[in-house]
Amino acid sequence: MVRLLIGYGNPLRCDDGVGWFLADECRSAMNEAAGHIIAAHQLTPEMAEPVSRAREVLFIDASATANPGVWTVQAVKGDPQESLSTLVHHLTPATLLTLSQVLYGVAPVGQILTVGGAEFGFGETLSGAVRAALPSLRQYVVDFLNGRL
Amino acid sequence: MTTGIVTRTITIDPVTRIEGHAKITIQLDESGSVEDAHFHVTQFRGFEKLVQGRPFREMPSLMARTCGICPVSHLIAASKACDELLAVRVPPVAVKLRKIMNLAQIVQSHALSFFYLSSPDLLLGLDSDPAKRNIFGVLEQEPQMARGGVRLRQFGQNVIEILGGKRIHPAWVIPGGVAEPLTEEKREQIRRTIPEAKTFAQQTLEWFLPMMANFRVEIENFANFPTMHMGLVSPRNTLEHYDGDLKLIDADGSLVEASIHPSMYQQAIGEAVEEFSYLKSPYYKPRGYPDGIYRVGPLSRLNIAESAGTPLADEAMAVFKQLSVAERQSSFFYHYARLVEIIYGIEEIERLLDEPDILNTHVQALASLNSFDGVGVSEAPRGTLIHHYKTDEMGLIIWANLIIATGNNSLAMNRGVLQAAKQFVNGSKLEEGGLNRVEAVIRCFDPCLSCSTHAFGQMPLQITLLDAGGEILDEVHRG
Repeated sequence: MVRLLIGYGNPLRCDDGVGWFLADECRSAMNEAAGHIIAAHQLTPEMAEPVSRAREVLFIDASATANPGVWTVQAVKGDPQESLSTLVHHLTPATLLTLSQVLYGVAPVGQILTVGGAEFGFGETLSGAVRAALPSLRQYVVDFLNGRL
Repeated sequence: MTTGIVTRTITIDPVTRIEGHAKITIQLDESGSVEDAHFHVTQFRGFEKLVQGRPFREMPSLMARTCGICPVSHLIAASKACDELLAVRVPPVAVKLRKIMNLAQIVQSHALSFFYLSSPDLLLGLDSDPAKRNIFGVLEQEPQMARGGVRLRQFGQNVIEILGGKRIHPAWVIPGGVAEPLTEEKREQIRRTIPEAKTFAQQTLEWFLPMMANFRVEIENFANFPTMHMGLVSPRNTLEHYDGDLKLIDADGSLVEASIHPSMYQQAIGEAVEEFSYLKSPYYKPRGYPDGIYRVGPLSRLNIAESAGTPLADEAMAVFKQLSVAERQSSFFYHYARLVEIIYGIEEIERLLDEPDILNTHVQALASLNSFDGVGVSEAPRGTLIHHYKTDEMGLIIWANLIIATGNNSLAMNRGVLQAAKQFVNGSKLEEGGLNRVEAVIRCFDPCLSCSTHAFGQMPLQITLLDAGGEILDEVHRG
């Protein structure tokens, strides 16, 4: 597996589910041999195993603090010195990459795609601001999955 | 009765490495000795109220939203309650498939509890550096075991995903049965992962057994007191997580109730509330409150069953039963019992997959509403789970009651916190290791507080309205 996409969030909380939404939507555009897609509520330790099998990982998450509809991509690396939260219900992308390194001896290149959300109440639809950003988001994700970035 | 004047309170907030949010308060007397202690569950859910007015067929998927950790347990109990509303006989193959999913949930949940939440204490020690006392510390010392923990979690989650289409909140268990039959391809997918999971589970138990010698003081003082134990048990007195009636035994192993039919649970179980917690405190009614204290969960299940019912788990359980009945009252042994149940769960899944009718396509009994009252009971990872619904003639829910596994252990957790605080906390000199032991008592029970904070009657509640300057504008008290 070359590329792994992990979209995470709560699809019952409007824009919080944008990672999930993009993960589901882009499955058909993916070259099956090259990549794998996971949609999940949160990052969990057992994801370290598929992460360790990827060369590149793209994490997609929503942000309640970024401007609605604005999306950014940042590189992320594991850090074994990072102090792990004792509340281990969920992990950060950096922690997951660290787990991959410590458990399996390899950590892929990581990116976090953060999408600013406007609406986080109960609902299964995305806000207008996030919907407006979908074409460019889709393009970026499809390019990632097909190795065009 | 203790009459010392309480002068100081130690608060542990939040309690870490549990599911949900809680705090512990320890009250000291004038001399700095522990006077009292409470386990406060500080979050409130209210599912019983929000489902009122909803069609009963929505209950499994609505109730599964109670929790992201153990949604399958709620799916199973809710669907069983709805089976009662339909008054149907669920096709035998659907029962077996539901059992497989329930066991997969137990395996993955126990793996989470043991490897991620409790192994840092067990492997690194309760007095070790808190900054290192986490899953990374475990990884450094025992990478092979940590990888095994990851694989066991994956095993359970993959079985759930293969059957239900997704890991969290699968909509596959439905009133009357399951939505889709098992295919040969899916059966093989699961079968392929069984040998490795079984090996990891056995290795972990072999690793854990000698380690218990390092925890003699903790075994002695971690919620170690006589209580009753409750859980489902098979007619052959083996482990059972789906079917059957409830059995209660006393602390000395003697029988209290051989068989409580799920529909009669209200005759046996009362529900009390305490003003310091949103977690209600169930008790065995004939003995009153709080003398009717009982425990549920893996330790109780191993205590009430005579054997496991599968070969490797039977061997493991025989070793467990070499402990005396009195020794088996220590809640420290919940960890031990979880490992035995992981082995049992994997073996039982394998056995069920080999059943000749497991690929049968008749997986749902179809019916309309035939009864207005339904109770569903199953064994969740943390213990006995009860869902009880009443509907109107249109099938809309008019009343719901949930008794959640963790709630059943509320009285025992509170008593356990007090016992550990008295043993390990010195009010004149607080030590992190002592406070961690008080938390670790709670971790033995692996409470899932998101699941378990549900209202019964008038839950004590206080709402205070403050203005911007912090002045109280209004206050509402209830209960």
